[in-house]
Amino acid sequence: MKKIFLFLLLAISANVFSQIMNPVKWTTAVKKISASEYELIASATISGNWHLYSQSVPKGGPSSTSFVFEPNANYLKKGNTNEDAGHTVNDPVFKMKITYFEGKAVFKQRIKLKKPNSKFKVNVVVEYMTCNDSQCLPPKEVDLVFDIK
Amino acid sequence: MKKIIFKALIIILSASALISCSEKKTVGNEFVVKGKFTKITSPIIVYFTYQDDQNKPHKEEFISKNGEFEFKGSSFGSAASVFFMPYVEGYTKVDIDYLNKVGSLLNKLPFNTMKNFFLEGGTYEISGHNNLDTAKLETDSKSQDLFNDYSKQYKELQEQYYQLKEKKHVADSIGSRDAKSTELAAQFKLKEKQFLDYPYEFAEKHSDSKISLLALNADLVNFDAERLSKAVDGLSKEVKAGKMAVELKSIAEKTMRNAIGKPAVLFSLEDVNGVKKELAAYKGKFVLIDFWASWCGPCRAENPNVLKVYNKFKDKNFDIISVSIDSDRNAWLKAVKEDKLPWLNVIDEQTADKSIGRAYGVTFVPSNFLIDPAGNIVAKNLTGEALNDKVEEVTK
Repeated sequence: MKKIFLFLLLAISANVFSQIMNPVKWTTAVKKISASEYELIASATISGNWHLYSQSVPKGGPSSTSFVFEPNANYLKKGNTNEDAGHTVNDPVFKMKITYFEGKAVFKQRIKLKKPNSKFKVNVVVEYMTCNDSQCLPPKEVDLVFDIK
Repeated sequence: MKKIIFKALIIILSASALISCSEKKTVGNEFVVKGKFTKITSPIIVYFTYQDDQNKPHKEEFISKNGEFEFKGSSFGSAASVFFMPYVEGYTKVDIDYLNKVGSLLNKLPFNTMKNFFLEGGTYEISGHNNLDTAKLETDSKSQDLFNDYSKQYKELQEQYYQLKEKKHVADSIGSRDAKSTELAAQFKLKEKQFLDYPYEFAEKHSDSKISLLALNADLVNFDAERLSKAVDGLSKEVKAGKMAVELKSIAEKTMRNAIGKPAVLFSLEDVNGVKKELAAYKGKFVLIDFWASWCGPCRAENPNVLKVYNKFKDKNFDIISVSIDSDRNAWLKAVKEDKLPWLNVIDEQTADKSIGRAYGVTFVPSNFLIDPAGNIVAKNLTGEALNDKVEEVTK
């Protein structure tokens, strides 16, 4: 499994000539559950010893990762956005329990189609920040597009 | 005789008409990348990565049923890659469940191969059986040979550099100080110089090639701003017109503006009471300008050390201004209180054009700048013991 993963990383960052600091790369996937239900999957590959944070971090800690789904007439969100278990630690600096992801994080959101088998796009903005042991990159926004077809 | 010539002429004319019909000519930066793989008979996903003429990275995908594919777009000059992934019904893009499904397929042909090439305006035809590594590339772009030379040389140097670095790291960690480790250190130093010099030497030698922009961009991690700026200036007019050249120049200039020895950018920002405070008022003192944020763990962890240095040197003409890049004012105020920071605390402007962090070229926090009594930058990014030592040295 590890081997496969490595290949994928290599494949996606094939452009070895561009090295501007950007430790998180997002990819999207769409999984059909039924004619009227889909699962939207946003995967983050996190390089080196960088951390991406959970969607729920107590107030006063690092900024959490958040997803904003642009509403459109074709679908409704079903429940909340699920995330992997990640690592939960008692953070000695913030003095609180913090969940973060290293290497890889997968977020999943189920949606209900208003009209079965319809084709449309879901636009999502993910806002996140990343830190390693000695520095943080400020929060940034990335546009994600999910193609329902 | 006349007839024969006439006939021949017609044949030549119609043949060239045929050629110009089938060979769709591209204009300027426009490209067409076509592929044909004869031994691929079941559906695969074709991935194509490149940067467009606005320097924006692209990752295109296409489901090919018969081993043929075509991508179109516009690129001034970029490294490009084509690779294949297995097609699984129901998955349109790569994720972890998909990887579980395709499993060991990825270690087999054609999925374990890749074609890297240089992409600019023109047509590209990639053909083969089922192996991208050995596939033939036909193109009207004249840059491929130089690109292959460049890539090979860069990868070799990079590999040798990291190998020596690792070896040296191991030797250093066990603390060996014999002739062998001295030789290793010398070898490493030499290789490091070769590796860091390579992009500049390449750009100087090939000032009229767009590949020089790739070479210079590769050095953005540990770069020498002055050298980078000069290297971009030395490129031909055509190459300099590319978006990447403009971006490289701007990064170099911003860094040079805030280099050690340069006057610190003056600012006026709001303190915890909403009152504007000026850096200019600190003239005549050593000042540490410390960029941080409430949400930044490494910054918060460093604050006790900064406080210690402040208490030790505050009576020796030394002061601190902390500039928070928080967007949530209340979170900032709470953190200032929690960390008990007794010096001037100000908050940065939120828009890119007014941001002082941006004017200082700050891309991460914590970042700091030590300013001398004349208002010039004397040191950057001091943490831990290094902060104490430098402040002690300058205030002596």
